[in-house]
Amino acid sequence: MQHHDRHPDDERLAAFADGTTVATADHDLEAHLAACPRCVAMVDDLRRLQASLAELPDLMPSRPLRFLPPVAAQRDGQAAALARRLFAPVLVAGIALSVVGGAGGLASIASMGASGAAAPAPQLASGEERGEPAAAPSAAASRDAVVSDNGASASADGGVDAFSAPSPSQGSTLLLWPVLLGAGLLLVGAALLLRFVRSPRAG
Amino acid sequence: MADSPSKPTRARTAPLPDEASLVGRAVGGDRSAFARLAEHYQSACYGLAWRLLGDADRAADATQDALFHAYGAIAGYRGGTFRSWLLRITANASYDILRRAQRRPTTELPSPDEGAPELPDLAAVNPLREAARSEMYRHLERALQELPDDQRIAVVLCDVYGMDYGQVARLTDAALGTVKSRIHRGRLRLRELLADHRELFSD
Repeated sequence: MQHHDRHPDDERLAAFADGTTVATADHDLEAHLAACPRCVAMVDDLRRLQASLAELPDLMPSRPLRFLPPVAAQRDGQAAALARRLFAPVLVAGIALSVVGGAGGLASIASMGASGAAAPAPQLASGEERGEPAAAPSAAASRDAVVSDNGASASADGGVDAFSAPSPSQGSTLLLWPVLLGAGLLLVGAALLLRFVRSPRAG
Repeated sequence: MADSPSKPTRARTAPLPDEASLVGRAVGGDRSAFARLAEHYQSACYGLAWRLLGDADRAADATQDALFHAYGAIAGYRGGTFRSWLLRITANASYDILRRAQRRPTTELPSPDEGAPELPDLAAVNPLREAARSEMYRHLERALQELPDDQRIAVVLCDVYGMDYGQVARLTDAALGTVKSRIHRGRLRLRELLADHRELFSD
């Protein structure tokens, strides 16, 4: 009645009712409330409203829900994670094998050409050069190299020592280099396939 | 009901008696332990999602998203109550759905003006709840759905689910002052909307 023209701003009252803001130290407001039933009622309403909101019950879902993601989706996730982990090592191994196989093949062809016995290999060799560009410079560099040089580079790569017999037993080495190259290219292909395992599902 | 999962005064899902060990097993990758927790808290999550979204289907979608997300994130669970952790995830999932709906006008949420908002059957949640209380809940839920999105989200998270201003600010990507103002204006608006039902709030 007597305070109608000077009621505090509603938001100020709401902040006071909240009790967690600076407005709680609002002495002017407290003085006003001491004499204004209208504002006291509003603060009271707001506090009871908050109490009621805090009581609202949990609600049962409108339809049955799944509590776990489908196992298939989970397996997809695991497969994708595995593919991600394997991608880099498989790619590196594939490139390494291709380089060794390609370089070794070219070197042995070159050495066989020198001894005048190279018949079926050149086509394959040029294919190798195109398929594995990283091998090309080293292959060109070792074109004139003898088999023993090539054996040394293979053993530097490690793990191929058993095959790097420096002796010119050309029957087995002729077979060895294409097999190494083929295996390397297969691994590179496999790595690229691994890449595809996750990308379509991510979208 | 004797086997009601809720305390009579606050129809909120209480923690499971063996919750700590269930959570520990779920964090360790035990699917059945997680499923048990998800089943237990689904109504807590759905209640929050429904209040944020005002739509049964979207709320079920958001709850489902939240449960699957929680399953994937359980390894990163770091203490606190499991219910609060799950509710934060649910709030995020609901907020995402709400923003997506806002960006696409064709799938806009039904506005409160277009007939009565859809309300869950509260009597089914707890059949023994006295009529006045469930009447109060009904009015409260309806009034909440009439608030502007910003105010409703802030009031629901803060007053219904007890999150502090900072949490609400982070969840909604808003400044602290903005959140406070939304909460205060939201409460004032609720008070206006419920002016005809003040008797329901007298405790």
